[in-house]
Amino acid sequence: MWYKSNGKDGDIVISSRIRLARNLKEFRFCGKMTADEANAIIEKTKNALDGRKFKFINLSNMDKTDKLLMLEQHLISRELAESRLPSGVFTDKDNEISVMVNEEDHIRMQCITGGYDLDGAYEKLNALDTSLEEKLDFAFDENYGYLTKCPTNTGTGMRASVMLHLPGLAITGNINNVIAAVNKLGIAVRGLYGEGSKSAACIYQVSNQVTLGITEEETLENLKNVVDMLIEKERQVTKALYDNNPLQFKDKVGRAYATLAGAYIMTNDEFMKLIPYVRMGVNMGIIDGVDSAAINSLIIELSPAHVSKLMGASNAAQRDEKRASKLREVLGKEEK
Amino acid sequence: MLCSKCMQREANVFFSKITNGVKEEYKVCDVCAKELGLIGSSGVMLNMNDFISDFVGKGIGRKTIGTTLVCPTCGCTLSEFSKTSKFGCSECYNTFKNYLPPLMKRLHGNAVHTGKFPEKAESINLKKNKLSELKAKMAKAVETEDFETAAKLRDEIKELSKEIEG
Ligand SMILES: [Zn+2]
Ligand SMILES: [Zn+2]
Repeated sequence: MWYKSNGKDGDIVISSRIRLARNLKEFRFCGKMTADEANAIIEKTKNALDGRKFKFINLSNMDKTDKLLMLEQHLISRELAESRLPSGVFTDKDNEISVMVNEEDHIRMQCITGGYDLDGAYEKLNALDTSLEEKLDFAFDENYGYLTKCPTNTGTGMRASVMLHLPGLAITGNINNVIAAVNKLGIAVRGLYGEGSKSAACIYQVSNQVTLGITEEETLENLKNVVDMLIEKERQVTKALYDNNPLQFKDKVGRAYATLAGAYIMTNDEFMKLIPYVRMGVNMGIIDGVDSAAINSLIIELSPAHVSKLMGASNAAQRDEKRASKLREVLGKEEK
Repeated sequence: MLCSKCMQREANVFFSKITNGVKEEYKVCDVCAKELGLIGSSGVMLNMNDFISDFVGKGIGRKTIGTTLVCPTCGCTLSEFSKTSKFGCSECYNTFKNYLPPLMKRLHGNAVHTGKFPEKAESINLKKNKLSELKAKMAKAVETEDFETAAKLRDEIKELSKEIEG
C-alpha cells in the first residue's frame, strides 16, 4: 500500500498520483447511459485487462463503510463511491494502480506511489493506457484529444497530483498566500480528500488544472516546479520556526506527542490538530523511534471508516477509544 | 487582431450571437469580456461550473438562438450543456463544436490538443498528412500536363482514402 513506504522527499511529500480519464467511443457518457450499458463497459474493461492480474471489486452491492474505507485509502473517488450506475474498480496486487469504471468518465485509471515520484507513476500508468488502447476504442479527436464528460478534463485527460504535508506554512499563516500564488500558475490546491474537502492535518493536494494544449510531459514539469518550490518554502519556514525559539518549538512537539501517545479518548479533530506537530518532530529528529511513513499510516488508518471497520467501533465514542488505543500502541509503545 | 469593442487591446475572446436570425461574430479582449460579463473578474479561483454556465449562457445565450441544438446521439440540448457544463457523449463535442473554442480557451488557455495520441489515431493522422501531400502533387502534375503521373497519384489517393475511412 502506497502510504506504508517512505519515498523521496518523504518528510514533506506523502504521495504522488497520476489519473487518466478515458471514455469508450461506442457508449454515451455516464449520466446518459443505461445500467445495461454500464455493465457492458465493465465487461469490456475486464476483458481488456485480462492477463494482468487485476482484482475486480464490484461497488454496486458493497456496503457504505467498505466504500468509505477505499475512499480513505484514495483507491476510489467520492464520485465513484456515490455512483448509482453499476460500477467497480480493478486494482493490482499492491494497490498501486486502480482502474475505476463508470465514475464521471467510463474509465479513470490512477497510479499512486509513496513519496515524490510523478515521473515513475506516469510511466507505469502510460504503459497501461497504451496497452488498453490496443483493445478498447477510446473517444478521441485530433483537435480536442481525449474526449471527457467535463470540459475541464478534455485533452490529455490527465490529473497529476502530489499530496503534501505543509504544517510550517499552515501554522505560520502563510498557506493562503501560497495557495493564491500557486493558483495563478494554473495549479489547484485541495484538502486531504480532494475537491471541497477541508485540509485536515495540514495535508494539501496540489494538482494541474490545464489539460488541453499541453503535453503530459509539460504538465508534469509545471507541477514539479511548483512542488519543488513548496518543498523548499516548507523546509525554510519550519527551520525558521524552530530557530526563532527552539525551546517553544520542542515544547509544542513534545506536548502533542505526549497527548497522542498517552490519551485514552482521542477524537478525530484533536488527532488531526496534533499529528502535524508530531510529524514535524519526527522529521526534525526531536522524536525518535517512529518514522514519517508510520505517521502517514496513522493518518489514513485512523480515519473514521477505518476505525469503524477495521477496529470494530460502531459509534463515535467507541471510535475515539479505539483511536486512542491504536495511538498508544504505535507512539506510546504500549503492549497490545 | 484588435478587440472589436475598445479597438485597443488584442482580442482573445471569441463568441457569436444570433439576433433575428442574423449571426454576428464578436472578438473582444479580456478586459472588455469582463465588462460584458462574459468572464468573471476573479480569474483562476472561479467555480468552474458557474463559470462555464455564465460563459455559454451569456455569450451565446439560449434566448438568442432561435432553434435549440440537440445532440443526435444522447439527446443533450444546448441549454442542458450550458447549465451542467457536462457533455452527454463524444458526439456532443461535434454537436456543440461552435461553442467550444472560446470555452476551451477560457478553461485551458489553449484550444488544440498537443498531448498523447492513441496509436490508432496517430497512424490515421499520418495517413491524412500523406493524403494532402499526394493531392498537392497531383494538382501540380495536372498543371504541368503530366497526365501519366497524375493518374498514378489519383490511384494512390483513392487507395489511401479507403484506408483512412475503413
Ligand atoms: Zn477591448
Ligand atoms: Zn451527445
